[in-house]
Amino acid sequence: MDFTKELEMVDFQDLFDRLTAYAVSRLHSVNIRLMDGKQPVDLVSDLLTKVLTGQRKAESATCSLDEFLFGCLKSDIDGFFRKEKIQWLSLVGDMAGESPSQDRVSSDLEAKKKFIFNQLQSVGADEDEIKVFSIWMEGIYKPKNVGIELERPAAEIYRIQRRLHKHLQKIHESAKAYL
Amino acid sequence: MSEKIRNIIGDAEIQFFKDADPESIQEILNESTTDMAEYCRKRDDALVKIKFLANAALKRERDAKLLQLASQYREAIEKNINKPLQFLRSLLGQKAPAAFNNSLEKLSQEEIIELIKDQNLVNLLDQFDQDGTHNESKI
Repeated sequence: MDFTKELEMVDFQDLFDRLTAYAVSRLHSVNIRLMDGKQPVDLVSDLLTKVLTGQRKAESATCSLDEFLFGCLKSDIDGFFRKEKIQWLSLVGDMAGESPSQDRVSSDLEAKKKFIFNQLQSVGADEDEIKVFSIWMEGIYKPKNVGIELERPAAEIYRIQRRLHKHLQKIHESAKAYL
Repeated sequence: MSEKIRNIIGDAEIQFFKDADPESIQEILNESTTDMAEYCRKRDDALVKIKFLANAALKRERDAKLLQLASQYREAIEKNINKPLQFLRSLLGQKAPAAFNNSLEKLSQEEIIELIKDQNLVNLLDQFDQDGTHNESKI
């Protein structure tokens, strides 16, 4: 990345809020308020400080500054979950000795998707959320592009995704055997 | 296969927080933060330090680029390479000649830095890379 250009253009307050909202969402999904004794606002402050003082090297990264920061934060949170043996969707099955047994797990991706769709519906996800989740499964994540697929404005997709995130958090316990 | 689904959910989640409209982000913070005033106070305190560090990092980056370019121009002067010398001559013509040595050959590293400091340094560095000026034939 062109670190200088990125620094000149970044809106730090907006980026700070987005990173904090992400950290809060990840931690609250497993009912955790503090990570190693720190609030999400402190985690984000520490991360930005480390990047700006060169303790975490952003200059050589090939992605944008915000992608780099989100990637660092995800990695920090994943590492904490792993250390504390906390299971979340992104980590379930990664922990030694805790993989679900073969007879419980279908190796068929379609069956897993169907299971997750059913789980989502059982916790109250509506048809729009299922459609957005289906589009994610096709590798389309950007709300704008999801909106094009569904012929809906991006603002509406944001609202649907917010509901979907809440329902995904609810199903993580029941879906862990399949994920 | 299951890793694929986990990665998709993880990537989609990050994409959402990167791209969501500011109102959605504020709503999420409002819903999940018990004391929003305290959050804003801590965030704003942190931002003072972060902006200071960002300015320092910008200056550090710019100084490093200036030094690298000055060294590359010095090398171009010594090897008498056409394109960089033409550019330096044009800059020398634009600035007050009295402030610099009249001859390109006698320009010090500090004077080269003074000449190029207001230019787009990234473009100049790219130009050195693209032109392959280190291999260019001499005048």
